[in-house]
Amino acid sequence: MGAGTRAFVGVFLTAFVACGLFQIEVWPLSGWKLFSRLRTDEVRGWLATAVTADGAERPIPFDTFPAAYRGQLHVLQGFDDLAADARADVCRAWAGEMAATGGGRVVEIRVYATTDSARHPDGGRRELRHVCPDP
Amino acid sequence: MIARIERTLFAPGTGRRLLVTEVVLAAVIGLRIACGPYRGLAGQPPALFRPVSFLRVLDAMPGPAVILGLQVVGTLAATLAVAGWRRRAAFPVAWVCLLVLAGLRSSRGKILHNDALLLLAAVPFLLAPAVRWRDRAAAAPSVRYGWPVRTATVVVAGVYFFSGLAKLVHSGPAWVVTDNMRYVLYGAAAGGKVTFPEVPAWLAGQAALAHGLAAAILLLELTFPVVLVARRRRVAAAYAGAAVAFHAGTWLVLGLDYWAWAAVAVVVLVDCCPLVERLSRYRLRSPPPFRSGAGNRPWPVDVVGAEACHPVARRKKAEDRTCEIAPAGAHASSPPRSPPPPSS
Repeated sequence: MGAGTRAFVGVFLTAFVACGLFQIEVWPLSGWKLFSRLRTDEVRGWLATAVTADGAERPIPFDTFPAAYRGQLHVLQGFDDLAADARADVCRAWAGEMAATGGGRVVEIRVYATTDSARHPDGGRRELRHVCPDP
Repeated sequence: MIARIERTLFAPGTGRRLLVTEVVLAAVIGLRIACGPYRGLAGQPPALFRPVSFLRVLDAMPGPAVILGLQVVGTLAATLAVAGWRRRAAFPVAWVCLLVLAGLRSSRGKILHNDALLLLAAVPFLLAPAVRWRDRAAAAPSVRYGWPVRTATVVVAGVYFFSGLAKLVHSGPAWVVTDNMRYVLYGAAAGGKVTFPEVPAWLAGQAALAHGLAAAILLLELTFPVVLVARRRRVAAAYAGAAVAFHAGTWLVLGLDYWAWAAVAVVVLVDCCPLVERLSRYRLRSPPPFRSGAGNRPWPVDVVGAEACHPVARRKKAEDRTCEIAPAGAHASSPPRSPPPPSS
């Protein structure tokens, strides 16, 4: 077994252990924070709704969208940090897919921060955080 | 200390164990590439693209032709690696295709770990030496053949251990002693991902069971490195079995697809060579296929000969002269040719 192979194993395992110990995310190397955060009865989340031309407001049906659109929760988590034009681009992408899948023309997209109960989910409280007019 | 780590990492192993592990990893990589939901990623608007690590060189999700191309090339390469045709080149090609495809899947915002263990456990095999089952040297333990499986074992043990460590770092003992697990289960029951939502809903209602489950998961993860020092093979096999049960349970109660983790844990921790040898013996005992029609020929001798010349068969039938490889087209079961009787 050559020195090159030993060096390769050494570098690879050092990077693997360092990411694991110090919770560094350099995918596929990871801090492995799977389900590590403590859950309580209070569930905080995000909700994106679409207002259609007839004035009806309903949640954007991400489950019916292609796989490319399924990271919405994490996009929403970072929504506050996005620049205004980046937020508008995201809203435009969702509105476009909604129209393409037969959801009708979207005139506004609203983003809410939600709080609900894990044990007795009943819609909980929601606070309007962002509005994308005419996406 | 360093010497001890070196002895653990570079312990001898057989070429056969290396080969079986590599072939199964290639098969799992091929299945992940072929069956993954990658085509649905194409056409993503650039505003939604959240590239992971090495994919930051891209501005947007690649188009359908690129994604399909990666799937076709990756599946083909994995198939060739399983079949043993230019495995040294085919295995890395399949690995790179899965790395890119799984990376693209993780580039939607949420970091996905479904393929991370498979990708990392397969890294040592990118540089593993070439080996064939029938090589006489492959049966003898050697450091040359041992290090890829040992390094993959460290990765498997490390991934489970770090998962447990992260739970302790972020939540501490509260991860077990509070109602944390019950809330995870309540969330799963309401989330719509689970095939049988009654199962997590029922489990969430059983406080003692939920606490026991959380304690068992944490114990399993934190003690996983035992497989690196245990002398008995049964210990590693027991951890592999526990990992399978853990991931089957995760699918049942949370609806999460971690079958690749279970497969990697089994193939890396359990020496499957005895099973492969037993299967080889079984194949030798099974009768040759009967073909109707003209000739009604048994297997040609190049096939029978290859099977019968397997080292296991050699031990069983040392005196059997059919082990001599005959040219293709001749038949093992054909009696030795004798001159025709003189016509009267």
